[in-house]
Amino acid sequence: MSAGSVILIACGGAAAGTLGALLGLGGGVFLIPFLVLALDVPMHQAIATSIVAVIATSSAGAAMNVERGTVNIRLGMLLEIVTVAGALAGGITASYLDGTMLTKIFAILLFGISGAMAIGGRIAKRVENRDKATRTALSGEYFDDAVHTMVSYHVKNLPGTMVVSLIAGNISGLLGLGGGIFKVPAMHLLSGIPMKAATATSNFMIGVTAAAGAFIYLAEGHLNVHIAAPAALGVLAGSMLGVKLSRVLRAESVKWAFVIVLFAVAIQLLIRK
Amino acid sequence: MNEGSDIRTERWISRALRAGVVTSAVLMIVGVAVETASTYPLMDGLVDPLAVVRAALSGYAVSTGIVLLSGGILILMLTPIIRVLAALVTFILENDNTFTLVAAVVLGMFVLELLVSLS
Repeated sequence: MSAGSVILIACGGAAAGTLGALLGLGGGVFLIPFLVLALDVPMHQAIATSIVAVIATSSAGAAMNVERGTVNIRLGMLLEIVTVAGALAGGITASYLDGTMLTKIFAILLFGISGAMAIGGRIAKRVENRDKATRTALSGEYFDDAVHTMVSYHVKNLPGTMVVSLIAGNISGLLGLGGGIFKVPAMHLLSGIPMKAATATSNFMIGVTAAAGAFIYLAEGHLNVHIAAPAALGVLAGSMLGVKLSRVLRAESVKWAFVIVLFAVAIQLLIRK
Repeated sequence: MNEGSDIRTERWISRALRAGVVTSAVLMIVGVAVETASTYPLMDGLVDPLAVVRAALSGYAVSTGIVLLSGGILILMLTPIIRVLAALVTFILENDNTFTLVAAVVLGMFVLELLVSLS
């Protein structure tokens, strides 16, 4: 374990952690290609490292976001029931689906989501602003530092978001990702949750789904402490930076960064052999 | 359920997450320092934390750095479960029956998944 390899892995983890916390993702979509392509780490070890990194991003980011009040804890825990159920089913689904076919379906789905995010955000925002419904246990409010305004919202179309979360849990169980890539658009577009609250709540949730996957990789002997520890430390530092950056960045900028990332990941998956 | 109880829930969940993250980070930082400073690293390549714990419990000599790294990673992996447990306790204290049930179901499913994967 040389100092050079530790620094290189930690830097990759820091970049993935910053982007992950900023976009409500675990950072696995950035970390796995870095480990496999730049450092020649075997795919199974890269996925196991990514899952540990997802837990680090989620735990560090959520600790700060919960204190700031941007996380909708009750909504997050309610959706965790279906994401964990989905992750459990993911193991069963994996044995029936061809991996290449699943990757292509995943990529096409990402194109659809990024398109919906790009054109549908304004519709969700308009509905969100007009809504004067009675406050419920799932309603939320937080102070948006970027625009110096208190933002209040109500959760709409919960069944729709629960169905997408179930699918997200299933796919994250299969591919070793956090699943935020599906949950954030669902919460924002279907339930009218502001982008900052959606990313913070998604970040809060992904740790539980990832932890379950991590123990499967741990049991199979794919987790390498020499890679996972520096990556997790880098991700921890990066995710704290990402949360601080999200305070000063406008919600619209975060949304467009998310759209671009989804599009890039979809292309990467489609051209992958 | 009121604003005060919401703040208490947020505080406990945040503390649980912070405790897990800080403990694991300290162990991993010291572990990385010990491992990189070691002139003769005992193990290179794939080092599985579960195997390290089993070896240490069986009385085999294991490098201090490896034990610290493995401990840090295992604590990090357990942090989300501790967070759900913290939420469950605060919902019970607040007599929030609906979300006590929600937290209990999440915890139960997680424990089930854990047992299945480690069996």
